[in-house]
Amino acid sequence: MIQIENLSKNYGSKTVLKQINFELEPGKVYGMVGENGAGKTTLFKCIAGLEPCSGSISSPYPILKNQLGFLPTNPYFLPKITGSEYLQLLCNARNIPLSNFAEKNIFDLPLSQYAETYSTGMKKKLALTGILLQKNDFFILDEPFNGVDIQSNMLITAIIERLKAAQKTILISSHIFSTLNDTCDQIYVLRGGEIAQKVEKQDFQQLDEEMRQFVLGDKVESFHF
Amino acid sequence: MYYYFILQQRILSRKMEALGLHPVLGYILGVLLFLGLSFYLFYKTTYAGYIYAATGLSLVLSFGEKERNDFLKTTFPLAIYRQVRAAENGLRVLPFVVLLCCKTEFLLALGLLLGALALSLFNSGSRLNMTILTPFFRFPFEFTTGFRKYWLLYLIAYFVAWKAIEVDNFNLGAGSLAFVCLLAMSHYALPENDYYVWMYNCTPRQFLLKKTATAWLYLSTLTLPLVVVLSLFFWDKNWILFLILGLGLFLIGAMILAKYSAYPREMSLPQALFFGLAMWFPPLLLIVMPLFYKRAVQQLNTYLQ
Repeated sequence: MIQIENLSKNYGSKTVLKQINFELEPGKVYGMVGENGAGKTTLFKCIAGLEPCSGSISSPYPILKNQLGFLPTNPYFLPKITGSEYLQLLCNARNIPLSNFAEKNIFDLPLSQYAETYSTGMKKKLALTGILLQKNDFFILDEPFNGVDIQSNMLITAIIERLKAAQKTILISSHIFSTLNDTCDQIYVLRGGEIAQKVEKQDFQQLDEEMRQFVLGDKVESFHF
Repeated sequence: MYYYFILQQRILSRKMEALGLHPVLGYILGVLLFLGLSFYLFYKTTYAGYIYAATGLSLVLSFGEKERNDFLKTTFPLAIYRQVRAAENGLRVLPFVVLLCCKTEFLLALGLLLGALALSLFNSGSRLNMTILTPFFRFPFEFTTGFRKYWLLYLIAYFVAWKAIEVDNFNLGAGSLAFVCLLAMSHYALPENDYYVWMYNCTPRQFLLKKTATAWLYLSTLTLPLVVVLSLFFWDKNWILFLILGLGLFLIGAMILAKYSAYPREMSLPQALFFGLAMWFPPLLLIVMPLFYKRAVQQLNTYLQ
């Protein structure tokens, strides 16, 4: 089990995350929702160890990040590196002896082309393939469905189900509520840098309605179409 | 268009400030360094004019980068875009043109200026969007990227080495070998995105060893053909070639340590000056390298542990 206790993050005098507490169990999928700027990406980076923060993160692993597959919102690709070289680099980094990626290329990506020339969705799929090849136990997927076509969306959902069945721990953020509804066991609502709500699967529809009310209100009416 | 160049000047000043250097001092040092290196080059070799013109043109190539040009095309009307590209290419080679004129190399100066203006009509990678093959696919990153960016310069270095054999000029051959080593070192000059350090499953020491071992393997791959062929033709001086190779391997290791000692930032100016001084007088590296190593381990600990 991964335990996050009293995690806080400040940028100068601005507090981005306030005393975040939650637990992540193996074989479960967790969703993290919140408006833009709520702190989801910062929270993910703090858990990954890419951002310094206060509080504690405990796990059964000596070094959590060595078991973590992190898919950033906008994966960064080195210039002039092909898709297969990117996968090779990720495998080398975790000492995974693999060099033929043809049969692992489930998204049918053009692996011999430079990764920087890929479309947004293709970049996401390449980065996801990379962290899947690394055989991680814990996955943080920041907006995995963003910019991805419907077929790949279905494939990603199936992958998440397989990971769950293999007792992996998965933490996802998405702005597409239906994808969270399909995949998650629990959803955390992040608001103003705090966990405002923890919602179980049976209450997802109610959360969807509440968020719709909270976000929409009568804001659209102000346009007078 | 005028505001675009003001912004370029601001970006340059901010880069200098980020290096811990006052912009005014930076500009003065830049001019002095340029003049110093130029006169040194012309003093050292009779081929200086050609090397000089090639350097000027290679600097202009970076302006042809596709994404940058796509941005300019969407921002400016086509006529203004063409003017911007021509002006920035012209400005970049202007110091080279002036100095070539001072050295009475008028034809080369004219060729350089016209070449730079002609290059403003092309974007790199816009037509030739193909993957360049490299022998560095097994352990990708620095050499893979660097080779694909500067393959033309590597080719020129090999060509110069071949000419050195043809005209029986050992210094030219040794220079081309040293150039390959320096070019390879430049692949390690800039820090990578932190994800590409964070993802490694190893200690900082192991990480630095991996990086150094890969650099040594790939630098040897690039330089050994040169060393072997030049040794065959300049047998009595082959020890100098091996000395350059050894120094290259030593310096690329030092470069990796220097880079990660400042990570995730770029090397600061004092660090870069210190490193430059140590390159000039390599024994100094024996003092500097343990310091760089200690600092690099500290910096990498943040991402790897």
